[in-house]
Amino acid sequence: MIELSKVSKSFNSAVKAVDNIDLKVNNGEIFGFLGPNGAGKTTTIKMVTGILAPDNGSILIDGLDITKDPLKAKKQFGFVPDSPNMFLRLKGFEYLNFMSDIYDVPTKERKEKIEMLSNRFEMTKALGDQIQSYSHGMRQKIIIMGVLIHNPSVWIMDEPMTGLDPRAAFTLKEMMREHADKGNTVFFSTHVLDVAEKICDRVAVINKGKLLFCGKLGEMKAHFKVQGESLEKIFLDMTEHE
Amino acid sequence: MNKKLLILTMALMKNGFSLPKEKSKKIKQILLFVVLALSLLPMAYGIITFLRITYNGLATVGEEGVLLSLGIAISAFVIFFFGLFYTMNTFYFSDDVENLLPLPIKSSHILGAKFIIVTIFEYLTGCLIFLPILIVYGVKSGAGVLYYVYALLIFLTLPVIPIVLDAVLVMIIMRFTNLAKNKDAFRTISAVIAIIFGVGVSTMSQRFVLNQGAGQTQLGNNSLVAITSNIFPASKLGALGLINHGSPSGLVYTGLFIVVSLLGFYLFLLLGNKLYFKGVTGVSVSSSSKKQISSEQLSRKSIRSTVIKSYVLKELRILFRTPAFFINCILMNFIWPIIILIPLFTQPKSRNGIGAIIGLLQKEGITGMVFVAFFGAMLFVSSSNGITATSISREGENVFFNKYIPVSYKTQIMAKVIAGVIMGIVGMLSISIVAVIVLKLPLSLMALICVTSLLAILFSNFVGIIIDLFNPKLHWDNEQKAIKQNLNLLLSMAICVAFGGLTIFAVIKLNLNLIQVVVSLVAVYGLLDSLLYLFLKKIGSKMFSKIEY
Ligand SMILES: Nc1ncnc2c1ncn2[C@@H]1O[C@H](COP(=O)(O)OP(=O)(O)O)[C@@H](O)[C@H]1O
Ligand SMILES: [Mg+2]
Repeated sequence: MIELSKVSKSFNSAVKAVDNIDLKVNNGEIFGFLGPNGAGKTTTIKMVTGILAPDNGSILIDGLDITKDPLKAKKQFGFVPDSPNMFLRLKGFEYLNFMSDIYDVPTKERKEKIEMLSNRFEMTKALGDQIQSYSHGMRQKIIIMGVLIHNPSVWIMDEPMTGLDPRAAFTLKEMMREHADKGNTVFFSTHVLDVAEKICDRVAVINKGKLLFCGKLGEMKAHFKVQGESLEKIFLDMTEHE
Repeated sequence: MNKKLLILTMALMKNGFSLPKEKSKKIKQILLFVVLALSLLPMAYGIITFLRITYNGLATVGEEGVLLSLGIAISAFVIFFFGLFYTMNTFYFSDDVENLLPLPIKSSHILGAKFIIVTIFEYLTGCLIFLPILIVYGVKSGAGVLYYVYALLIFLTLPVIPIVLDAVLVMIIMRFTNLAKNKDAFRTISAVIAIIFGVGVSTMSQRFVLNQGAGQTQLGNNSLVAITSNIFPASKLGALGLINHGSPSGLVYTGLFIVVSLLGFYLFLLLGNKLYFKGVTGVSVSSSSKKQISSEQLSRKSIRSTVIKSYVLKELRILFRTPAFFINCILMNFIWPIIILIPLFTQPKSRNGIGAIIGLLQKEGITGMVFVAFFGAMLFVSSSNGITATSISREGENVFFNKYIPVSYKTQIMAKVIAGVIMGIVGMLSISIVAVIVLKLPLSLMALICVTSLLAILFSNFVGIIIDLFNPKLHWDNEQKAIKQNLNLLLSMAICVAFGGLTIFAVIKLNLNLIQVVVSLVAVYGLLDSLLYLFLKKIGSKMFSKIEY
């Protein structure tokens, strides 16, 4: 479960990148965080994960406050950042082991997990190579595997589908569904409406730092029709990309 | 100068020492400069005093010109030595060429811009060594305006020939890089070969020249100038130009010096066009074996370990595998013993000197001095690898990773310190081995020195990480900039040198014997280290949590 209340953030300017957001992501649901480029998705996610400190408001992950009790809160989630260009000089399995050590995964469990994940993501032949030699999609996959290996209850992913080939994207969606169905939380951002349409139980729409909508996908279209032109345009912005 | 070339140079330099836009960061940066300048003052005072005394000594035998000629030769050598690192970093480890090639830029402009960048760095080196010599000579000899004009011209031209030699050497060796499969490893090895080759050649040429000169030494009338300047042949012209600044021949020599340097630069452009682009392209492509890891292999390699051990290992892996980090942070630890060895091979007479030193060592009184000298040297050496002083900076844009993982900042800081301490110990041991074998220091003394020097290593690493936590340089676009264009490394070195100098000075002034030296070093640095540790634990974690990209 993720709860944001009255969260704001501005970057040394008058304009707020995130403006007074209230949001609740429940257990057992896949939650899509939608908005065009520059809407404030990444900034919000960075605050949720403890990378940025919010100017105002509080953020709870499974009931733990990310600013007051950071270490415990950070243990609850796994995070896939928007850029997968990390640890390029480590080999795939070294990265997975590093993540396992950081999140206290026992020896036996990690080996099973590494084998299972690399099979499912078709990465068995890449694990011995440096991440540097991976394609964008493979880098994305190894980062996702690094999250899944420690089996966190909350998944937080920033544009996770970008760069994945259709098959890997399908696998990821499948795994998201499995995870949520076990009563866990999946929270991910995207600027592509299509991605959200297929898998999300609920979505929130953000633009220019402000939350415009939060609820079931089916309700969203009706909502935008009532709200008039400006919201219609945002909706178009998202459908037109890609 | 060509305008396009200038623009390109500026573009490649960007991200260098430029002031950041944000006000708080700007203030930090300026503060850093001030502290850096202050911590260099004692060293500058020491250098100038030394030069003044040397001048006076030489002047009594009418050989004051040696100060200039030797100064130019030594400066050229130091510029050449550091230039090896600078050229490798700028030409091969800043992966910007592939972005430049598709643009409508002349290849000679790319070469020229990179050359200028290295030259600018070398001016900083020149400021530390050559500038004081020029000024002391000028003031002492009561030289006129013309001297200073020539001095400026020669100061600006001096780095050209050493850098040309560096660049040609590095380009020839690196030419073969893209024939190799594992490019990172190959580049690293090429760099090591270039350094060994470069140091070797200059060492041999010095030996040759000095041997030759030894027979015909007659003092008086600056005749030594001719001999010493042979180390870098062209530097002789510069020295003669300066010494004869009063007569027209001075102008001729200075002019010739500049012409020779320009010719060297032209040669560099010619060779660069042939060698450089073939060696540098494809450098960022890395190899993949695409081999499946067997189940047993995986079991062997996937064994749980503690967070701190795993973190330290990760730091070291990245340091060893990233060529820019390996050259600047790891290799540095093995450079100093080589530098100790150079005079031994270049100056046969220095062996007698070493005999004398060993004789002195037997006396109880001097052991304390040797002890503290080594301790001070360790402060310097372990800060010079810059592992901790750039440990936050090296994270770059990925510093967010450190903030979302459930590992306390204190643990992360300590893991980074441990990585630095490990390499510091490796450096210390490599120097110790040389000291025991070549200088014949007693093993027991050396062991005691090493154990005590652990405190020095700890100190320099604590200082390094505090400085980097205070103002990390996270905005860089290629790895070498995280280290080579990072003031934090310079600052931590300056502070460690200042502390080392102060410690040595205190021991000499107080005239302490060995036991007193050991006890006071352990007490003082034990206390300092404890304070720094407490500071890191309390405030360091807070500083880390505030860092944002
Ligand atoms: N580090 C930063 N400094 C200044 N402005 C930033 C920074 N990061 C993001 N912004 C600004 O905040 C706004 C939201 O950005 P972001 O959260 O990255 O959007 P999204 O992820 O939805 O595309 C943008 O206007 C962006 O320019
Ligand atoms: Mg984003």
